[in-house]
Amino acid sequence: MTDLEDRLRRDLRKFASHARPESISGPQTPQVQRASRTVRWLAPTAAVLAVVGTIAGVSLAGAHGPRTGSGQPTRSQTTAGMPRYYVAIVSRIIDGDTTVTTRAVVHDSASGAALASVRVPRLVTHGSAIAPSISAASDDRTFVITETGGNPPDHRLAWFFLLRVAANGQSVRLTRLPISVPRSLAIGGAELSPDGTRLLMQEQSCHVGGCYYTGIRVVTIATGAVRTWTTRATGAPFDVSWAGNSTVAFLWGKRYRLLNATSGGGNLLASRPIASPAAQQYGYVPGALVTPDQTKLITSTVQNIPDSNGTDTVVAKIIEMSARTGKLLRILSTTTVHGATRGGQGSAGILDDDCAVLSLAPTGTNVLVSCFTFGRVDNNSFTPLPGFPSGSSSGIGGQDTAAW
Amino acid sequence: MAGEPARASSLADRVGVACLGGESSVPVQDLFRDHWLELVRLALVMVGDLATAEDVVQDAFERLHQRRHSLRQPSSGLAYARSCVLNGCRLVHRRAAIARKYGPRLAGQPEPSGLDAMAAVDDAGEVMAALQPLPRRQREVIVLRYYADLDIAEIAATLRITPGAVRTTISRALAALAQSVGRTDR
Repeated sequence: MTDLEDRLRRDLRKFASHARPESISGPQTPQVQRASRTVRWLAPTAAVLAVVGTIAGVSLAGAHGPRTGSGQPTRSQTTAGMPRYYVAIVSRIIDGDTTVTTRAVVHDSASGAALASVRVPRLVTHGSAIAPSISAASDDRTFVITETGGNPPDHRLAWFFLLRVAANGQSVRLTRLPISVPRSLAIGGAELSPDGTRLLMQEQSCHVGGCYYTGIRVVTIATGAVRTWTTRATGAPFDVSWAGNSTVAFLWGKRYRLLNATSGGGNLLASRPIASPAAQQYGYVPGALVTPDQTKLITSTVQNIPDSNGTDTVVAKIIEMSARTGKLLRILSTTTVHGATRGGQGSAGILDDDCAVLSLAPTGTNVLVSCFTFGRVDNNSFTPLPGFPSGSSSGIGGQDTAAW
Repeated sequence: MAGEPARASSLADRVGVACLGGESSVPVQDLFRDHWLELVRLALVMVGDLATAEDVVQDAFERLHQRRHSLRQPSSGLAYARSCVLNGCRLVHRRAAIARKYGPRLAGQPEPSGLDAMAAVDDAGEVMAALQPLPRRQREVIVLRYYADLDIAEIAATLRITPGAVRTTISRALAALAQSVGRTDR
């Protein structure tokens, strides 16, 4: 054996020895019931990531959490069907109230432990800042962060970032997606499809006289191809979300509707209405997420019970209801707040917004909620989780800033 | 890393024992659990970053886990796992190369993945540095030969090339390395 071969063996082993048993996590076994879906998304997602890497190639940052053994998700910690990680957006106002800094923080869904984080470049500073929104693909490692901001029609902008969590959750990679939106459009509610290939958003067309919601926009990430569903009818789509890979759910008026997103675009109101949560006081319709099989809605209800002290007892529930009949199927969790103070309009108008479903896992049974407290609901129980909202983010307009 | 050559050899010996799928077989989980460290280290010497290496091996595990009932030759489980890991490493290199070519960086370089990676870079050694510019195939055979201690036939099976091609590639890689290291030594 030559000297060179000796040196090769020695140097290669020395380098490889930096992977030590205590510094790496073992294999994370995929959920069995998700295997077939994973097969379906794997190829398109790989294609998207390759294209994203090819065209944009803007690797921004990769920040890593401490590599301690603690806090790493293990099979014994996870609940069946629960995504391994959730990502929360944390924004802070610094520099004397002039600048917003934002980080995306990866948390272990089982324990809530923060595993890794990455700084998200900000599109705009505090003056017109809107908290970025985040949505997830069904592989529980691929997320898209959307930032919008500016004052229409002059400074309307949107940035999209692909956030990819490492298999062990200990590092993240953030990449700017090569997606642009015409400046005549204001967009909102961007949601990543379960297979990670498309972005869904509601769009608002703005002109000199003002802005009008015009419809729904689906962008294929790999190609930038756009399909839109619009209407001239008075109204606007809200609470857009995916209900499986080929169907879009949205709120129109006081009813949720399902739209076939595999067609080439067209009339928004050619969509199918489904049963919807009842409008609350002041006409507010709670946000709802439709399960991938489109048979159920996960939503929230808030009931205010006046007490003798001039305050309210507020009972908030996360419920599952039939998309066909509207019948209540299950109460997933209940939160009771005593002594809530009435606002100017009574408490309902204020408190209703405090209980919302944020993100539904691919199984359709595990849901991230912010119902006075942030947490996850699974197996008919609520588990509080950290990371959302950040204590210092008040004053920044909020969207859905946690997802799995 | 004392004792690694013996360990690697014993793992190679077990190639014919590991069995995927089947009612009474060794499942994919066991295969990866038993060889996780070895596979991560293999990926590490290929991609140079521990977090990426773990990611590559986890992806390979998930791919094999999904296909555990359809593998034609379950007895070659470990060799196939190595092959999957090397494929994942190629993908990492390809994406990195494309990103370097087309991607204007908006921010600085990605932060190194912790102290381990920083120490690894410092300790990489001259030969490791000389390995990086080699063509991908040459790098792979060198790593499989001198890190994993595979023989010519096992390398051929892992990379799905002929034994003759393995010998030729090793010879060319060693010549290139000798030239590179010699230049530095002078």
